[in-house]
Amino acid sequence: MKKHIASVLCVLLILVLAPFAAASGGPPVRELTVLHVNDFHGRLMPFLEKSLDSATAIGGAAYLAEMIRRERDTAGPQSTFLLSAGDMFQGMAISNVFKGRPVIEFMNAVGFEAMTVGNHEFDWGRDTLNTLIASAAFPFLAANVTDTDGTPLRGTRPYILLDKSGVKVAVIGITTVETPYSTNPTNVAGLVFRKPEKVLPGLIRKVRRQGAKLVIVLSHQGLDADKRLAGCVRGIDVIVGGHSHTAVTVPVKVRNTIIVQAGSYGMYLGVLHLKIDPTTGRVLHAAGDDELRLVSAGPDDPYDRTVAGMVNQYGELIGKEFSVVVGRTLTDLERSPDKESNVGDLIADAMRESTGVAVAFHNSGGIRANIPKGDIRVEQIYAVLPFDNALTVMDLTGRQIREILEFSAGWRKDVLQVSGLRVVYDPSRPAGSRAVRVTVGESPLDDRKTYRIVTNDFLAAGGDRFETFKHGKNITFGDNLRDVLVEYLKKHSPVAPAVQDRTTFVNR
Amino acid sequence: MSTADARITVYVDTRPVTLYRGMQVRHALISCGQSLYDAALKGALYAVDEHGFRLGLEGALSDGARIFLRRVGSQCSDSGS
Repeated sequence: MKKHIASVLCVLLILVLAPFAAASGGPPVRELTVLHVNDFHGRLMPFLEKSLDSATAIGGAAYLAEMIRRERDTAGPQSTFLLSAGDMFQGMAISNVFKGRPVIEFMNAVGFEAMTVGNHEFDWGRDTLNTLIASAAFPFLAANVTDTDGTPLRGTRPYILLDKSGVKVAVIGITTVETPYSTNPTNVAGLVFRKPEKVLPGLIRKVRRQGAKLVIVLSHQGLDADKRLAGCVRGIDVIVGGHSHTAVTVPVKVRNTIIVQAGSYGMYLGVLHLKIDPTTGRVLHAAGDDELRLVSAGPDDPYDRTVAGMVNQYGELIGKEFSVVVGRTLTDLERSPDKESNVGDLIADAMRESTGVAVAFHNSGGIRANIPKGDIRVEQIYAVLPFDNALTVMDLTGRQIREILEFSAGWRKDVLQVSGLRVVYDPSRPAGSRAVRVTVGESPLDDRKTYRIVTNDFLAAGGDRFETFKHGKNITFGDNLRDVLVEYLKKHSPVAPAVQDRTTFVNR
Repeated sequence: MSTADARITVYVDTRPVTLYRGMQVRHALISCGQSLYDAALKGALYAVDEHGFRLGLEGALSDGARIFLRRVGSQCSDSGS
């Protein structure tokens, strides 16, 4: 009887396991789950994304953490890994004020196993990046970023090897070669961003020799570049992507490579289920159309109380940080949309001093609050400059500067705030001849001369229809404008800016 | 970096838009018109790529990228300009 029962159990076991056996009849198929996020940008708190749902908040570290825990428990911790495809820290005040520390604590708490370095990881300079790397309980990966002598970016590794359910998995990190175009050049001085297609073939051979059966590229270069990469580099099983903020709801397949990306801001958790032949590493099956899970943060949605507590603590701390005095003004700082303002002068002066260029331009519409005389606190800087504008430095000819001023003269509101330049407008004259007198420094504007100027990325994109800013040369992006203003106030306080007739009107 | 390298062309619906390299979806909308950007900020429209995947406003753009604008509640592409 016992023998009979044993035989039945044996047959049942075979029937249960049969579907999981590799086609070759080798060891059973292994199931792995890749949990992934990218471009979190400091979004520790839930937020409304009205184009998705106008009533229910989404995202937030506590809700994301709970979803990660549940997915990990469901799939099994031994076969699950959690990855970030970069740009985790810069973005929201709760992270910015603490230079990303709350995000690192969140990532440590939920057990990230690796992240690749995104372009925005350089935004606060190399020292801050080094601090973040040192604080992380997981490795930062950057296979294609080195010093000029080929030394890997400090504190990073090109790849890691993980053992998941008996499958050796290589995770290789790469970041966009366009990083020098999108951050302050001083932050990446001395670094070389090599093309991933040049770096990866050798690394893939290396990790395969080390026994990797599955190769994952953790990529911060955008979906289009990821598709090109998959088309030209063999041997990548999965690309977990970021940078383009693409919600890849159905994994993209290029040749034999599966490409995923989980939108941005922690709105989604990517959940990629893979079935692997453990002998060959071949991906036998990948999850279909439920790869992205929306992180809903409604009143009935579950959240991780430990992470929520941590976020709340930083929420309280930021109240204190926002009340920190960064400067002092001896006069009211008052904006004015249709003429020069003293706060406009102050901001433009800060932009010009920070970059050392000849002229600064800022749009009046980007200045959103006044500051009464007295101490200036961080929260007032956020009120004055609520937009996340970056300094944008470029070469313009004198003729182009004149075009810009003429266009500004045509506006009844939103006159440009300037530094390093004086202009007299005569609105009674025909369009194109209203900037009747322009000087840069002490000299008349020379139409044929090239001037180095600074503006913000809004105007540089042609915002407020200032098309001429789109035709600059030798462009570089700089620091966040708020940070620049804070540093200026720390250096020069007390300030007492008065309108200096940089922009005047006759016959108005 | 050279000037030639410093610019990309992307397409908002079918409209070519020239931007500085390193700029994002939001810059493409700003370049097309403030009203588009304002509508996106309000959640009245959003951008998708050629696969129909949603793009964030701060999503990076590459040369030749094609983005399409969709009004919330509509499945159709809308030039919006």
